[in-house]
Amino acid sequence: MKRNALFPAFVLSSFLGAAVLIVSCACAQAAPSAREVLESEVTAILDIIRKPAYANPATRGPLRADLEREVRKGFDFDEFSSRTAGPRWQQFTAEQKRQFSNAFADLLINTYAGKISGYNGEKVAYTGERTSAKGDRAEVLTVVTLKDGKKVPVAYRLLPKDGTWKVYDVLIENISLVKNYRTQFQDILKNASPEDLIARIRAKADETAKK
Amino acid sequence: MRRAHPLFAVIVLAAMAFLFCGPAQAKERGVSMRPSAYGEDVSAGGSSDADARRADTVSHRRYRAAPADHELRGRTRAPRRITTRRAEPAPSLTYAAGGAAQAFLPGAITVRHKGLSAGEIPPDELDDYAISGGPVIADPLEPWNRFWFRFNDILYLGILKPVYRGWEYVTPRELRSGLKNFLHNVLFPVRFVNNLLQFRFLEAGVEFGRFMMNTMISAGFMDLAKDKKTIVPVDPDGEDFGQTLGYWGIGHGCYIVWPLLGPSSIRETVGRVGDWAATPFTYLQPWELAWSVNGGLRFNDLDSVLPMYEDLSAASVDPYIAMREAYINYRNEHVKK
Repeated sequence: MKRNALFPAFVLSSFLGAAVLIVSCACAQAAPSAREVLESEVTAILDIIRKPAYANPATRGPLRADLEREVRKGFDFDEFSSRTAGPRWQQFTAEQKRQFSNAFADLLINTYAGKISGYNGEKVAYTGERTSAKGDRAEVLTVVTLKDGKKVPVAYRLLPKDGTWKVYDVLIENISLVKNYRTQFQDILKNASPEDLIARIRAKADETAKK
Repeated sequence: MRRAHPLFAVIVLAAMAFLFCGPAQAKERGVSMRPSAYGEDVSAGGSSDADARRADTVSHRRYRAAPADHELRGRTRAPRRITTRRAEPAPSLTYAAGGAAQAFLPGAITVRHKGLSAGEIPPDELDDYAISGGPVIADPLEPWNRFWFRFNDILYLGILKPVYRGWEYVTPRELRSGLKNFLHNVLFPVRFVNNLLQFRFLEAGVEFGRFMMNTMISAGFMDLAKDKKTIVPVDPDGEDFGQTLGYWGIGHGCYIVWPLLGPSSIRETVGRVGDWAATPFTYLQPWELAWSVNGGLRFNDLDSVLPMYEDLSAASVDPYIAMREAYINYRNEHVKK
């Protein structure tokens, strides 16, 4: 008798449970993992660089703009900037933040775009992914095999933003790009104003663009 | 009665050394080879004490979930498989909440996650770099170092780079790579001795095997052993005395830039002297010839260093600081490998 009374409750709860399970599965499918996001970004970037028109400096112009758009889609330069500027970032005005972020993005894109087009035989292998328990940080591990067969470990750190994953640091040979720039910028900011720092980054970015 | 062959004693000794040193080595490697620790402990990253306490709680929760380890706790006659013995009070809030009933009995065993002590934050927590900042090494000689850094910059990019271009133009690639292999093979004693000094006997064995193979087949001009699968992964850059000193727990001291040789630290300078003692060229006569050959071979090796230097200096806003940080981090990574 008592068992019969409980039976509808049991059925209801199992239905609810199944519904929750289905919903959570659907959510998991809707949000791609950090690794999937990164893999598609990197593939898109490499596809542009591998185009024959990109190899020729005369026809590179429009592709270069595509490349920059693609890089900015996957890499969050505001995150790069605030992390490299450190605690002083709070004292930057909105205009200075914008200038800093743009100059730093130009510097990184100019440097590494030039670099990658140099290694046109490289292969990227995705070797692993680890996430924080809260799920708000992820690190995707890759190994880049250069033309000469040398293997370089490259790790990307990502955070969820605007409904997708954005790269906020790159570690080459386990050495953090952000940490390296951070030390440089801290040292410069010890004796110089934010404007001086921005001017120096801008000068360097323009210098690498000319090469 | 037959007497035991003297080699037998050597083999037994070697086996014993291997048995005793094996676990110690594995423990050391644990620092870099524990992916499972990351997945679960990462969230605990943070600078405050509260975060540190949470880290402790988190890791203990996990132990509750792992009954095999957890069962050990609180038994008076627990098996002594896991050795850490603690007299201190309960390290986590989970256990402290239960009161006297859950207090550890004398002789109880506390199981901790590999290498992490109470309240310690995992070494790399995917953090936002809020805690870690500032330079990785003291640099009291900065003005002096900056002078030599500028000197070296002109030397590397203004003189050595164009001369190397000329060398590349007049020599075939095969010759350059042959000479590169030859130098690597000649420097075998440095890698071998330092593997031994770091108790990496298997790696030392691999280096020895490669040296024998390459020397006998091609006098060292070909690296035939490169693609052979080894019993342990061996760092292709090899071990040197600076890494050995780091392995022994000696810190860098302060940063030094040497003319021609470039970035270094007190420890790495001592390391270079040690490597010099293990380099065969040091003992060859006439010394003028030996050192010219050494210098020539090192020049031939520049193609692995110059592009890296050029890239780093092109990408950085303050190349001196960038180089200092990159060099020290790179060396620290090598000590861990």
